[in-house]
Amino acid sequence: MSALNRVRQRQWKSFSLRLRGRWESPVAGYLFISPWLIGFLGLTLYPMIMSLYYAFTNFSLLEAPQWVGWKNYNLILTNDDTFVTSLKVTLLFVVFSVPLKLIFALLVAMLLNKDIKGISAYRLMIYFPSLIGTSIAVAILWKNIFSGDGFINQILEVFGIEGYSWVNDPRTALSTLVVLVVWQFGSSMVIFLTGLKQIPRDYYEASSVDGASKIRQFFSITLPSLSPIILFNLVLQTIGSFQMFTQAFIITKGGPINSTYMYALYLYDRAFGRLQMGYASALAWILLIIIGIATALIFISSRYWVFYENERKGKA
Amino acid sequence: MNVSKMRKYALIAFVLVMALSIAACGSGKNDTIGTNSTNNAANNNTDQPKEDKTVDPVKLRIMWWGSQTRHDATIKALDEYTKLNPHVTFEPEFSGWDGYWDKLSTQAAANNAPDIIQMDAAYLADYAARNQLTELTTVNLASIDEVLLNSGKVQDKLYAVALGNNAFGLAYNKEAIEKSGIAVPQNGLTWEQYFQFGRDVKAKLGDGQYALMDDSKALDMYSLYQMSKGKGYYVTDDGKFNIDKDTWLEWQNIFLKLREEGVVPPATLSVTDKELDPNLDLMAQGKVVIRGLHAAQSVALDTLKPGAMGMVTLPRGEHGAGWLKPSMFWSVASSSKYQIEAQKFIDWFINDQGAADILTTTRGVPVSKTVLDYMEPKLSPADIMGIDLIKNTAPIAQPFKTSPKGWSNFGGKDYGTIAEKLMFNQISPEQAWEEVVKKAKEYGI
Repeated sequence: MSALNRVRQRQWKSFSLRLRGRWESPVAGYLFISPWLIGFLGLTLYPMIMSLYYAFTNFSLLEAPQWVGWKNYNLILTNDDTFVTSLKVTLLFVVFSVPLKLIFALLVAMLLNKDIKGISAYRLMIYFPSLIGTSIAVAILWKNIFSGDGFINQILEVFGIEGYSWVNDPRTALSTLVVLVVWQFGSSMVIFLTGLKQIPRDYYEASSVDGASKIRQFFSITLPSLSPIILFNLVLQTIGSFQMFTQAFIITKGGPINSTYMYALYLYDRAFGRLQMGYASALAWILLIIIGIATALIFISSRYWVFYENERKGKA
Repeated sequence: MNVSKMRKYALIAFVLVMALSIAACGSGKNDTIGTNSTNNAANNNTDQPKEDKTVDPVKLRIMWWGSQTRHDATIKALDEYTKLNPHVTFEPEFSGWDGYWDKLSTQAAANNAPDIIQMDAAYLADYAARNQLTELTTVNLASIDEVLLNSGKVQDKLYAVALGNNAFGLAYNKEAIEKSGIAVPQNGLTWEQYFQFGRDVKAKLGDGQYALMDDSKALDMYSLYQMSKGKGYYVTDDGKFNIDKDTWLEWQNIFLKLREEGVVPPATLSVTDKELDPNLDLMAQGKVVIRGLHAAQSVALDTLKPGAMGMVTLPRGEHGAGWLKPSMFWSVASSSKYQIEAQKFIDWFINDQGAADILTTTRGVPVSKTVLDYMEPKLSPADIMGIDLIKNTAPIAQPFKTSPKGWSNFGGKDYGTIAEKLMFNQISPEQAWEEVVKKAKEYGI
């Protein structure tokens, strides 16, 4: 069908030819990827299979699991207020944090794509915090900045504004977490930056000859050319946001009044607080399905807003 | 088209991997202390050359929760034990109360629990019932108080040795109260006097300073209030919900009023409190002048501001005040390879005078009567503050209760969430009561 497929077929043929003659080569290959392979089998695949099994048991960590059928799923879906609360909080968080973060990351990436002297120094300075910022340290820092007598309030005090308990008020706690996550834009920004660099300059030059404004260029050239990258970042961030745990765990512990009680946090409490591993496993699989649906929706919608260069060439 | 399809497959595969890999945090650094075991043969040649050769090296893993004072004292005691018994070294794991039980349950599930485990009354029955602990048979218990000893038994088998005597009472900032010109609270004060004391102190304080803690979400504090009125613990021994509606509404309405009057801090401040954390404890920060605390914490309390703190019994009703309880226990894991060595260590820990010199009252008042007699003249004022609280509580103490199996999360999480709604004025006490009853049904009324 396409060039790539033909290439792959050819590769496979030559590979299987060699295979008949030299059996060592696949062994060597597997040996080379074995660190990853062992990690994948032992730390991802095996736990996944076990959790699928545990989801149908009443496993409590300390006692042997007993099969209970669909009971866990039944309880979660019909008789669990906290499940509903935490799902609401998580959806709210995803809906606000993901677009804001992507917009912010794109803005910064565009600034760093300018042709000015010493731009690599700026890039380094802006990306550097993302390298050292382990999530827990950043979360603790954030907590101190936004707490009752934290940095923000001390600055406000200088201007005579009374301090405000950002992370301790149920009305603002979630927004504070959203701001924190938006601020952690580093990785998305770098991906956007690489994407921006791949847009041919000819497009901009041609359009400016035609008299297009900067804004017009952004919407007609930058965004469409960048759309596959946006899709990639969107999917990545959506999945990550659904699993939001560290910041909520460190800064607010889900409080006040469950206003930041993320799904993953609830799952953790069930698993390790109440030792209901079976129930927690069922929660995890429900989360997987929810993430799957959200991702599927993004992919379906992507037909209407993502453009690939080779697509246009193929149609032409 | 195929390229985009391929990207999709790659992404979908990625989704699957990402979705299940929920972040887990490993923490805790295990330092091996007591490296003396390597030179034992050389040093002890003159003393007991024969015995040393027959003893295999033993490495005991030991885990506890506590504050920095307790960590320091315990590590010193472990070093001392290694000096006396060069073949035994330790691998200590220690942390605050937060996360301790998460870690232990995970280790236990992996059959990887430490040899020696610091145990709490609330968890002892659960762990013993699940065969995670071994029966302690070789520890010398001759000088231990009968009641304390029995608190470590589950179905007449000793699974845990109590390490100290403890009492729940109040800690107050003597300096701040005296500055405001109000008399410090006296042992045996009533609840009415306690609330009045709060109002009196508040009248002398400025904005941003408060007198009492907001105990709306402190289920144990409420339970003690209910017990002092003769209505029992919040849940019966056989796991039945036992909060008395009228008493509970009375309690919540008192705090509702105290919040309005500024006697207790606003909700946004109250939710930040973390007991004895120098940066988060509301009393350490000077936001309140009095709070609930255990006698065994008297030394840690004193380090917040040496000499400035005092302790007094919990407010009383007609039926008593506060309670006495074992501070904590040592248990030995049933999975341990060194059960005899572990029990030898526990024996030394509770009975040896040298150990007592190092540990003082970091785990409550020493459990052994002979050790306590030996210690009494050497105790620091902070130690005596804790011991006095126990002595003063004893005559009016209520029976010690702990959440029955399965109820710990009710007090630890759900009750607090409902009470926070109250504190943030989102619901009325009556509505909160409805929610409490509804939630309790999940736990089996």
